[in-house]
Amino acid sequence: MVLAFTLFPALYGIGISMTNMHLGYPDVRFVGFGNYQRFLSWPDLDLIMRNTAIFMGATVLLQVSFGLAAALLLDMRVPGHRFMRSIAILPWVLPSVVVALIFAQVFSGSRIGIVNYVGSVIGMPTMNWFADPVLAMVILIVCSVWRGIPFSLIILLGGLQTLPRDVYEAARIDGATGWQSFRYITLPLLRPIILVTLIMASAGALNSLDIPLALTGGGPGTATELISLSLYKESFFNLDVSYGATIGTMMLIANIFLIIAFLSVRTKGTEQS
Amino acid sequence: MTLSSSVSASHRKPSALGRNLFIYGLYAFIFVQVLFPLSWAFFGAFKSPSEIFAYPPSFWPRNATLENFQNVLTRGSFARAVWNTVIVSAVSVVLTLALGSMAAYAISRWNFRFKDTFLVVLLGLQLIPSTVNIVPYYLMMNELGLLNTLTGLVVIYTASNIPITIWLLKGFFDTIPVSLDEAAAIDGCSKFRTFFSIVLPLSLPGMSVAGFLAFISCWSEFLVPLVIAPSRDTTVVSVGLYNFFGPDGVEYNALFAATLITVAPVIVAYLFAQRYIVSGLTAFSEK
Repeated sequence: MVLAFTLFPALYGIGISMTNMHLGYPDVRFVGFGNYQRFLSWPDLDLIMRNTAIFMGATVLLQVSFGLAAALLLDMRVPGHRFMRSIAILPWVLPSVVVALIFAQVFSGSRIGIVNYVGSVIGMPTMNWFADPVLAMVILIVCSVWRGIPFSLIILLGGLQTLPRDVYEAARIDGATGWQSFRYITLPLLRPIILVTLIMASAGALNSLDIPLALTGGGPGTATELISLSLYKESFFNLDVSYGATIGTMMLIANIFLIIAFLSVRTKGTEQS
Repeated sequence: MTLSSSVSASHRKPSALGRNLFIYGLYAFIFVQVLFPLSWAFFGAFKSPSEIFAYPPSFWPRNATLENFQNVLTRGSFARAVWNTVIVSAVSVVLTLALGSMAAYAISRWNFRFKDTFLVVLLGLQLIPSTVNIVPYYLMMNELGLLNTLTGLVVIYTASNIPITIWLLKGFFDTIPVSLDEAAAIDGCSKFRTFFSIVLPLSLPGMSVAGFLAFISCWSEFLVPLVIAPSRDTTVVSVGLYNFFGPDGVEYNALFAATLITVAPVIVAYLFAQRYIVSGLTAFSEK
């Protein structure tokens, strides 16, 4: 059953991408790699690839670096650290649609939007955040990072807790500063976990569809159009499911690279320990 | 002990104080950046329409009212969406735990060829995202006649949550000594009896994490129900919320009330399960 609903759809999707299946027309023919040729000469391809790269790059970088900073902070045993962990992980359990709707409200373009109100108090003009191509992308990234940090945090925190304490003790006796023990002990030991976090964050950003769809829907115009959004729109707005499946297959290939990277980092980690 | 700790404490005192101030400063920052956006929706749910649209905006509701919740649950189809989500999530979680725990127990207790390969493949499959599979899902559900049915959602949710459940629970079952199983077998327990009366009760923490993860994934899933079950009768809360957020004139107070109803079960489940989350997920990423 698991195979039927995980592996089979992926293979079925590749099959569909080789046809001209369209929900608007009844006939289905085999067209070989026709859809892939169309994909490569797609006029929007450049734009979508650029948007996806910007979105993924910024999201992954911010999510993992803030996640690491938060993990280091929450690994320090001060009173209240458990409570703080619960708070910091909270965004991760919220439904992504809820997160998108809340951010849409916070950055609402009217003067009662929170950010605009706070801005007006300090003398900034009221801005229509989602009408500006750059700002819309920035907010989309901020929203995704906000929701994504806790996941990176959980994995990194788990990794920090497996590090041997006595090494730090030895370093402290030898007079290492906090920065030195982070740079020469924590970072090298945590490297496999950081890699896992980077890979998982990349997969999360690449496949993220809920938040972009609910927050910007690709707009204004095509300023925040991502590859995942085009898959959805081609399949279910234009009803061109075979082309949607083609985009899906290209995304699957990217995912397979990430999965292989993930599994090899994991295996290496296991062999070492 | 007391002497040495007091000596080292006095040695570190100035820097320790500064360090703690720094830590709590950052704590305050995390606290605000996580809770402020949420509190806005939370308090908004208790404000009247006139207060929501008043300028300047208020943080605390001036006249807290439950009217929004009443409206959301009686008007329109949101109550139906809540009920649908409860049913779909409950059935999926029970099925996932039942099938996943038995599979995990089998994998944990019996050796077979290619077991490690099987586990790695399972993990790889877990990582194929629903975004990639959404078109095939749609066409498969269409073939099976399960479009716009709650059954279709249950089938997909259960299948996609089983791999991680197997991974989590296998790790957990491995920590329960096999000698317990053997003792039970000597006392005349069948394999099933051993599993249900001895192994399962001992795995309650593992089952809670797995159940919690399956629950939030089912409760929050957006793309699959949006595509597979968008009809009025089968709407779930995530899709219902999205529909609320139509292009024309958002009723923010109703939206906030609906948001709160959507989020409440997840938060409650989180409060119960959070103690186990970090350890549970760590097992998944490194074991």
